[in-house]
Amino acid sequence: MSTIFLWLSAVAVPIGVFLGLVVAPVEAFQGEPYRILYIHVPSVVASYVAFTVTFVASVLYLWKRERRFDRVASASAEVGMLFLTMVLVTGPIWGKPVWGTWWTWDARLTTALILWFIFAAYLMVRAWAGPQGARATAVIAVLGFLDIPLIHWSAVMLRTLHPRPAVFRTEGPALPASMLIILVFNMVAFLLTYLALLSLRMRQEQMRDRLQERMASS
Amino acid sequence: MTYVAAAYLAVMLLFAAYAWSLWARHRELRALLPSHQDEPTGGARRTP
Repeated sequence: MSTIFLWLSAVAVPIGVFLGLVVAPVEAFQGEPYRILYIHVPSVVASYVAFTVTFVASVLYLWKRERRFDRVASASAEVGMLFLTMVLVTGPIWGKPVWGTWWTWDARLTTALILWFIFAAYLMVRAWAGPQGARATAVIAVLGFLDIPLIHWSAVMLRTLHPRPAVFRTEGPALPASMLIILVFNMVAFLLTYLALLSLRMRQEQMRDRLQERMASS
Repeated sequence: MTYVAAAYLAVMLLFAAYAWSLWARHRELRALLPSHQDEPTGGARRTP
C-alpha cells in the first residue's frame, strides 16, 4: 500500500510544483509571491489531517490501551510535524515580500508556532521514552489538537495580519477556478505524500516492535 | 520570484531530508532485523 502512495505522490508533487510555478495565473495585487499559496495551504491541510489522525488514535489508545493505536498516533505526529515545519518556513518567506516582515506575533502565527512546540515536545518525549511514553504522548496529542480550532478561528474572530481563510469558509472558496483547481490538485498531492510517509513510518514501528520482541525473547 | 524559488526549494529540501532520514532508519532496522528467510532454523544452535 505504501508503495502505491509513494509512486502516486512522486508523480503528483512534481506536477503540482510545475502547475504552481508555471501554469497558475499571477495574482493581481501580490504578483509572483502569491505562488507560495500552492505549497503553503496544502502543507497546512496535510498537517491538520495528520494531527487529527494523531488525536483520534491517541484517544483510542487512552481508551483501549492497544499498541496499534499508539503506532498510528506517533507515526502521524512525526509526519504532521514535517508538514507543519513546511508551513512555518513558507509562511515567513511569503510574508516578507507581502507584509514587509518575516514574522509578527499575531494570533494566527503565534497559535501555529505553539502547535509546533507542542508536537516538538511530543516527539522529544517519544524519542526519550519510546513506546513506554505512549500514555504521556497521547495526552500531549489530545491537548495539542485543541490548538487547531484556535489557529483556524483566530484569523476569523480576531484582527490579524494573516488573511482570513480563502478556501475553507462557509460562503465557499474565494479563489477563481483557475487558481482553485491547482490548489486542490496540490492538496491531493500533499495528502498522498502524507499517506505514503505515514504507511512507511508505521511499517518501521512494526519492525521496531518485532525487534524488541526478539530481544526480549532471546 | 526569489521568494517563490526559496519557498519551493525549502519544501523540496524538507521532503528530501525527511525521506532520507526514513530510509536511513529503515536500513538500520533491516540490518538489526534479518528477514525470516535469512534466519537460521529456530535461531539457536541445537546440541547433538
